[in-house]
Amino acid sequence: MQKLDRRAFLKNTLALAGAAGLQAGTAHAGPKNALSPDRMGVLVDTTVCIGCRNCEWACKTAHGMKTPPIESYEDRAVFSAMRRPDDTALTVVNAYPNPRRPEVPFTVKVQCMHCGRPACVSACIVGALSKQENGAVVWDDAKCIGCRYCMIACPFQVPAFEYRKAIEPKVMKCDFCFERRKQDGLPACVETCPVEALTFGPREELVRVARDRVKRRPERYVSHVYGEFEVGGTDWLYLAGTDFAGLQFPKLGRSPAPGVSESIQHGIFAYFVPPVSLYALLGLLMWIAKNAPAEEGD
Amino acid sequence: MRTFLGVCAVFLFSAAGQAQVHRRPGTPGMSGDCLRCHATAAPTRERHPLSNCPRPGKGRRSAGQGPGAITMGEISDQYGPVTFSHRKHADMAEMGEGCVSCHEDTDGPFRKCAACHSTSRRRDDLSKPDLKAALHRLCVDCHLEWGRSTECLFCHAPKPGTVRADSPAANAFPKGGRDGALPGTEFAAPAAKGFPRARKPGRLVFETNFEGGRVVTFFHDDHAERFGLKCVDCHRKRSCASCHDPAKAGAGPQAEAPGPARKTASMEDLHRPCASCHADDSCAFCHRDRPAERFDHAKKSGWPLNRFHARLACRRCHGAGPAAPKPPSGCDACHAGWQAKFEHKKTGAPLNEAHRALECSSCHGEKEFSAPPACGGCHEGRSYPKDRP
Ligand code: SF4
Ligand code: SF4
Ligand code: SF4
Repeated sequence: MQKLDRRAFLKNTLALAGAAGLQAGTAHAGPKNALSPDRMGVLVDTTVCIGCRNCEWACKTAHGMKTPPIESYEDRAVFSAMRRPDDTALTVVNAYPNPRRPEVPFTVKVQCMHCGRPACVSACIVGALSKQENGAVVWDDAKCIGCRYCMIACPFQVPAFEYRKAIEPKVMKCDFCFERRKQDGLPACVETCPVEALTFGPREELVRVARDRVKRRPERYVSHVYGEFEVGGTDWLYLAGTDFAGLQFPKLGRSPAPGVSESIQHGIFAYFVPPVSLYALLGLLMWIAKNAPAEEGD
Repeated sequence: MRTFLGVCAVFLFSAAGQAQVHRRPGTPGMSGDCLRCHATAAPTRERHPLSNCPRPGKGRRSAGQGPGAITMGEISDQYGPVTFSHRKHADMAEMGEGCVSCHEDTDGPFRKCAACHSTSRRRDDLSKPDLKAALHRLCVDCHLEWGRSTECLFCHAPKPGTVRADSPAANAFPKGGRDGALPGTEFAAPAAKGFPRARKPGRLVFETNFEGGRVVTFFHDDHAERFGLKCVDCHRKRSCASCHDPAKAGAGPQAEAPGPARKTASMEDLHRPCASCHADDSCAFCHRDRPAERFDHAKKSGWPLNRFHARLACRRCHGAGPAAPKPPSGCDACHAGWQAKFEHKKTGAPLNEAHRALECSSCHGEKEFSAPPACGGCHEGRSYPKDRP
């Protein structure tokens, strides 16, 4: 167990509070959860997606999960019901009516958005979830205590729990193909997509590409790059030909979901500091945070 | 030297002429509507494909100038090469944007797709899709529309040892590739794979709001088959599924699709396809009070068509267009010298020596060959087919 002296801890937490209060883009201090400006993301163009669900198959295969043969994914009957990613599928594709071309519905791939300032990471009291430098938000089963706070905190309802497993159930969510990418591979879904509805690249470049597409084809796209600003910016971004609300994207503000005091509380839990003295400290920190410049969000 | 200067002058003048055309949008003389000339709404200096070349003498290519079936297999890893019926697709594209529905440039030889689209998904320039995606997007955009399916093996042949190789669909694949087609040849649409052949309506009845006659009857089959009109002569900018619709694929050739005429089209647009032939006809030629009966050659002309003649396109006898000549009368007009070559036994009734010497009209009065021959003139009480010569 790590024992910090109080002075160092105070310094750390103050830095944390200050950083969180100031600007998006510098969320959490420390070696993990750093927000690298070169982090990678994926631009999902739902106007290009054809709903082939090859990505679903590729994701399962890449993660050693059980899957029926690939051609069974061509069955479009699954689109009659809405699906969410769960412990058996880290990503799913849903279909929505397209009034302009009824034969060709809008199809939308859903998975973890890999938020820049992830609520799941903030909510996790033992630091089992972390934002990696390459953009991925990953889960560490060695640390997880199964509290499932992340599931409640995630604004996109992504993390899923293996309720069916009695022994060592896992929290399951898209890990941005963390292991594959260590070997310089592309995310499995990106690699397999036949029409490149999924474009993998540096997030900043993807924002540029997305804006450019909207500008060039205003008749094709709604002028909104979902994830550019939502909850402080996500690394997976979306383009659509219809209002995002119609595609069941939650309407979210620009500020990151976790609040300042919340992260401090979790810092306390993580370091196991005796509670009494720390509640005093907490009061002090909240006072600091309250008086910090109120420009959070944009 | 003088020639060189001359060439330079010509070059400069023509360059000036082009600058006229290529002035930046928003400047006087340029409408700002890029799509008037370009195949893209946002042409750039590097990429400015033309939809219809505005320069004189450099007309757009037609589908017929393109190749027949082609094989595409440069980048396939999971699959064998795709045999693509280019000309058939080009014919269909004529109903839309033409060659530029797929190709980026019609001015001069087409560039290879891979000249611009990277063969690697991992690349720096993310502004355009990689080659695999660029090709797939072109195909799937229509195939999904009419087929409501993304079945890979509709186009791809599976490769042994790949994940698709042992799927049932793969094993149903015909040996020797897609429909056994060979590069450079055309092949029939794969009906076996669920391809919905174009609907071929028979009689169509439209309701219009023209007071002088609200009902217009259109014999689609006659126009398409007998009058030799091509789809593109009338159909423009329609969705693929409006003809190739699996939901309506079972509709037979005589299926009627009565309904109101399209309200969105202007009066001019609605009449344009008809006007090229019916310009001199009165409104009442098409606009009636009730649906028209099918044209009957026997009733109209008093000359019934035998089963061979009924199969001919009208223009084989009547020529094409309003100034068509009067149809020929008498067999010799088309079948010159037929009597010398004619073998009577082909009719199923071989002639004996005595009968072979006779004139046709001795038995077939008025040269009416579809009626039974008259035996009674020479042989009292005899008749065909009870008695044979
Ligand atoms: S989408 Fe949910 S699970 Fe994914 S990073 Fe954001 S908060 Fe965490
Ligand atoms: S990035 Fe990897 S884990 Fe995430 S959906 Fe794609 S294939 Fe699945
Ligand atoms: S593989 Fe690509 S096109 Fe197919 S469903 Fe997934 S995102 Fe859409």
